[in-house]
Amino acid sequence: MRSLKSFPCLVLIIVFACFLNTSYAQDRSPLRLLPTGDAIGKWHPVETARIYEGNDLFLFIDGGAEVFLEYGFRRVWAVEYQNDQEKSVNLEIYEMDDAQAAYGVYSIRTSERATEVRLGQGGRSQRDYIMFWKGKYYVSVAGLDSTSQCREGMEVIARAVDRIIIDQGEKPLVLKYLPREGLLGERYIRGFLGLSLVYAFNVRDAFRMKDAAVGIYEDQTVVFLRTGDSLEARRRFLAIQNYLKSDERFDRFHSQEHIDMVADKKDRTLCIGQSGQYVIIVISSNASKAWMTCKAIKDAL
Amino acid sequence: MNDHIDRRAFVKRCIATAAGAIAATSASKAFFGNEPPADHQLCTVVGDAYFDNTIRAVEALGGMRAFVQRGSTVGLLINSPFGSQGTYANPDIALAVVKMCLDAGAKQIVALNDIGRRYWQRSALHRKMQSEVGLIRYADEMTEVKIEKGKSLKEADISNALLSCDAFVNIPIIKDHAGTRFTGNLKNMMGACSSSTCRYFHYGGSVLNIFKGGYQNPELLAQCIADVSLVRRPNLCVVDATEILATNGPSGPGEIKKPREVIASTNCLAADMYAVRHLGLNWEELPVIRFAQQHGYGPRSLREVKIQAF
Repeated sequence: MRSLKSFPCLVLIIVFACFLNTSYAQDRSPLRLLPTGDAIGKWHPVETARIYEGNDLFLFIDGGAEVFLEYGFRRVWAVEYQNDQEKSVNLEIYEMDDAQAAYGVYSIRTSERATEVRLGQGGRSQRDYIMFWKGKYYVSVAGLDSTSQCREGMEVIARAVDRIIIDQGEKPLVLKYLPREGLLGERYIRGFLGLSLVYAFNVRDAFRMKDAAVGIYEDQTVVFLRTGDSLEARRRFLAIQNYLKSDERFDRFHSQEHIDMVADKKDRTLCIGQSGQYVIIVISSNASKAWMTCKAIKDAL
Repeated sequence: MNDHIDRRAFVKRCIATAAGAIAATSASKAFFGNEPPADHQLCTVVGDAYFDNTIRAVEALGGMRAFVQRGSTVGLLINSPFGSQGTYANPDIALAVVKMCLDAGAKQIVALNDIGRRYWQRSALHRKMQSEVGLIRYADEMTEVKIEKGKSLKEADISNALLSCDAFVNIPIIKDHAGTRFTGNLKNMMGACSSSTCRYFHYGGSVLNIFKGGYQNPELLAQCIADVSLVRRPNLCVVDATEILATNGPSGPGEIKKPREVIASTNCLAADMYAVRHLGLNWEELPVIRFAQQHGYGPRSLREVKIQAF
């Protein structure tokens, strides 16, 4: 009798396990995300999808892999498509650990000079590429030459991928701290390599972070570096202070109202402040504006 | 001390001196070609005819015969692995180098890294130069080399062909790179290293770092690049600064800049110092250049470089 009562549970467990297995197989299957057939018109894949996972990303994009790994990378599917004129378009679909990572990668790889396109949860395009993010996916489509055919192929394939991916996600919360007035662009970073793409600090340890928001304005750049707590933020602030004092690329170090200021070789001013769990960095060619921005943000937090 | 020498001793000294001079010249020729050009020379040509401009740039340095002797083996290290625009050395430039080497009487041309078949097809000239491309041999055997003066890299697996060829021509593209901020002549040397050596450049020797998946220190990569450049200096650098990836390097896609410039130089460091301007960079801020200078690899400033511009 006991075995009869537990039988439905057992069936449920088996069914659930099969479902999980199928879901996992679908997640790993390239066929799920890569467009084919009528969805892409006269374009067709000319190879079996290449799949790289984890550190194997290095084999695919060499040194460019490190930034993806810093954000939290799972796998990429890469396929070349051609049309009947043998024009080629490369598609790369990156599955990241979460939507914030996908947004982060997208944010540092695009630029405000690129044209916004209505793809995914945010997309941009220049002559030779289209990029967008959607949920935990970052998508890159690139033409191998600048012909109108490649351009057409990029658009067809990008739209097809957008239709296939149904995942959605939220942008990182830390971005909300960026002052909205005059904001031209924003970046989300999760480590030193991402920060290096904003400003080339040559020393890693001083800038350890949980993550950071970067705001691009007309005449300044603002970085909110988030740490674990205010004590850790204080340590980071002091470490950055020591670094700026010791690196010969910076001079004219001084402090005013607990905000440190230095100048770099390009005559830009860097202002560093700390409030709560955040270290604030403002970079500007206008020293007084940089200081006022840093102070205003510090006081507002 | 007796200053007087007899005729026999004098003749012996003359013969010894002459023999030494001949030996030195021969060694110099073996390494530099017929005539050792002055170090720190650079020529740039701007324009849309990349094949012709490459020839013109090398001619301004004395022509390929100044670097390649008749009957010699030439190793070419061509930056070719990626497919996005601005990420690989324009094959028109590489084809021009191939042509010049053959015209100079090279017996054999060896590609020092894996060049895919499709690389040459990206050039409109590839059909016309199929026979020349067909002469290129591809070598993939490696040898472990000790780098005594290396600060971070003490040994590396290096292409056999790089070590054994009579003349070595480096053909990089200048472009953005997420790790070192640019890649050019110096970093192109990684193309002649094994994948395990290249991983060391990124991860260092600690197994833990491999699992962490991150750079231990960005300066490690720069130092290793400077160190590996000690293995062998190119006889000639021919740099693609025509249509270059300005963001999202090394693999792209990203913004493309078009300086339309081909640069030929007898010194790779000088060429990199000159070329990084196209990425909006100041060479003085770049660790890989600083570390190479510390090795005495090249000029300390561009004032020490003889630059011809066309």
